[in-house]
Amino acid sequence: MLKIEPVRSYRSPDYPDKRVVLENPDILKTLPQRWKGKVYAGFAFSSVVVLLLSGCQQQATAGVPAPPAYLTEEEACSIIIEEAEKYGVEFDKTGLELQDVKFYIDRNTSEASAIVEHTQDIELDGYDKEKKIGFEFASSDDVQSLAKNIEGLTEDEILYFTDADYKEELEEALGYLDEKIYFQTFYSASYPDIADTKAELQEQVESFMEWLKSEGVI
Amino acid sequence: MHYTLHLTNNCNLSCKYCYVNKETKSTMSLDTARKVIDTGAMEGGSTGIVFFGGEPLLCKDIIYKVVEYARALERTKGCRFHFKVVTNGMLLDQRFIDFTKLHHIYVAFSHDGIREAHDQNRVDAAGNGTFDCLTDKIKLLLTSHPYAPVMMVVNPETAKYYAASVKHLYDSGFKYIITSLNFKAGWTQDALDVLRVEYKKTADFYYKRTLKEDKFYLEPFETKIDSHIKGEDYCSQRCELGKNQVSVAPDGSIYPCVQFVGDKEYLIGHIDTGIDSHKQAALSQASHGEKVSCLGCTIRSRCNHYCGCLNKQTTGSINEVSPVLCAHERLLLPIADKLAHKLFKKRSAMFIQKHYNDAYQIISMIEDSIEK
Ligand code: SF4
Ligand code: SF4
Repeated sequence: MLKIEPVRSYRSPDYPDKRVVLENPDILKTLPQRWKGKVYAGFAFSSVVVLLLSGCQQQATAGVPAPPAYLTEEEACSIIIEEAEKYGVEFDKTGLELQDVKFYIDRNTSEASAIVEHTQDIELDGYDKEKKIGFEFASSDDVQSLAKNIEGLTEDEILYFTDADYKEELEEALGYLDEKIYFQTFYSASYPDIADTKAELQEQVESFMEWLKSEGVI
Repeated sequence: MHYTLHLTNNCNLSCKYCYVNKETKSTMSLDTARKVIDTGAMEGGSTGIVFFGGEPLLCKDIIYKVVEYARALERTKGCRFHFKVVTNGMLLDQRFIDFTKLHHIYVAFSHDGIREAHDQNRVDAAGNGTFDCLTDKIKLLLTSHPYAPVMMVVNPETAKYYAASVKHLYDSGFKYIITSLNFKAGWTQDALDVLRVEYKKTADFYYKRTLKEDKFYLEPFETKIDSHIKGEDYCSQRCELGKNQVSVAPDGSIYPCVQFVGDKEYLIGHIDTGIDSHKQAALSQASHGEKVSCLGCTIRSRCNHYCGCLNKQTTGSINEVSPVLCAHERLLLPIADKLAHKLFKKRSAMFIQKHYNDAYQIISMIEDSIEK
C-alpha cells in the first residue's frame, strides 16, 4: 500500500544552482561544438549580463568563490562520532566487518542484463554494537574501490560512479543482510567555506539521530 | 492570462484512461469562443489561447474563425495572442497544418510511445489501437513543426515500455517529449519499481544524447533538474489556481484548470460576467497552504504536491496529496539529480547552456532559423 512518506533527509545535489553560475560566469563559456565560431555564440556570453540584470546583483559581485572545501575521511569521521555522542550513540572506530555483502548494481543501460551482481566485504567506519547503529563515510576512495572491483562496469561507468551511487548501492545492499542494523551513509558536501561543509555534515548526523529517536531506537 | 478553451467534450477516440465526461455532448459556440478573445483583447498585453477537448480538431471551423478573429483584433487593438492546440492527431490534415504554420499555432500531439504501450490505451470507439493511423500524421506534423511537443501518458501496465517509448518518439522525430503519469491508475510499489528501472535507462539515454549535444527537452527530468538549479525562482513559478490561467467550458463557465471543468464547486465565473476574483483568490489561497501530510519533508520545495489540479484529479481534494504522486517524487528526484550531477561533472556544454543560460531558448531559436 503506497503512503505519503516525508523524506527526512535528502542530500543537496552536487551540481550547482544558478547563483553559483552567476558567481562564475565563465561556466557559460562552455559551448556546444555547433555554436562555436557562430554569431550566436556571442549571445551565450552576453546572457550572463541578462542574468545579472535579473535580480541577483549581490551574489554577482561576490567574485569567483574559493575551490570547494572537502573534509578528509578522518576529519569527517571525527565530526560524525562527536555529533553522535551528543545523542548517546557511541560509534566504535574499528567498525563492523560485514562479510559477503551482496550488491546488485543497476548498470543504467538499455541492455537486458543490466543488473550486475557483486559481492564484497565492507568494514563500516563506525558501529555502536549495543544499539546496532552503523555509519559509513562515502569517501572518494571508497567509491572508486567499490566501482573498480565490480566486474562488468565499463571505464566510463567506473569514472562516473559517484558517491551518490555508492550511498544508494550500499544502503540497498545492507537492506539484504540477515542481521538488521540501523545504518546511514554520510558524505562531504562541497561548500567554498570549510565551516559550511562541516555544518552540513553535522546536520546530516543530526537528522539521522533525530530519525533514530523518532523510531524509538535511541 | 491564458485561457484553455474546451471546445468540445466529444472525441473521436475512446482512450481507456480518459477523464473527460462525455455523457452529454456539448460544443462551444463560435460566439462564446469570440467572447474569450474579446476578453483577452480587453485585458491587453499577450493572451495565450489553448484549444482543448475532448478532441478540439472536431471543431476545426471554430479554430479557423477564432484565430482569424483574434488576428484581426491584433491589428486594430494592439493586443497579442498566441495559440496552442492539444490534439490526438487523428484529424490532422495538410490544410490544418498550413493554417497552424501561417498563424504560428503550437501543436501538441498525444502519443503513448511504442505500439505495445500506445495501443493498450489509445483506442478508437471499436477498441482498436491507433498506433498505425498516427504514423503518417507524425510525419505531416513534424515536417512543418519540427519542435512540436508530444505528450505521453504512462500507466502501470505500460511502465515497462517507458524507455523504449521515449526512444521511439525521439527516433520518430519528436525533440520535445513530455511524459506524465496517469496518477489515478492503480499504481503499486511493483509497478513503480519497474518505472524506476525505466527512468534509469531513460536517464542514460538523456545523458548520452546530451553529451552528443543533441537538442531536446524531456519531461519529467527537465523540471526536476530545474527545481534545484532555479531554487526559489522555481517555487515562485508555481501555478496559482485560476490566477494566470483558466479553463473555459463549452457553455462559457470558467474553472481554475482543466481537471475542474464541470465541477460546479469550483466554478469561478462565466465568460459573460467575468471571473469572481474572491472565489479565485480563496481557491488560490486554499491550494497554497502547506499540506499537513508533507510537513517536515526535506524535498517539498522541489515536489509537485502543491499542484491543486493534480491533487483534485487523484484524491478529489485540492489539498490532499496522492500517495502515488509522493512515491513517484521520491523515486524520480534522485535519478534526475544523479543525471544532472554526471552531466555537470562532465562539463557537458549542452547541459550547461540548457539549464543555466537564461538566453538558451533565444539562442536555440536563432540557431534553428539560421540553419533553416
Ligand atoms: S508528496 Fe511526499 S515527497 Fe512530496 S512533499 Fe509531500 S511527503 Fe514530500
Ligand atoms: S484523445 Fe483525449 S479526449 Fe479523446 S479519448 Fe483520448 S484522452 Fe480522452
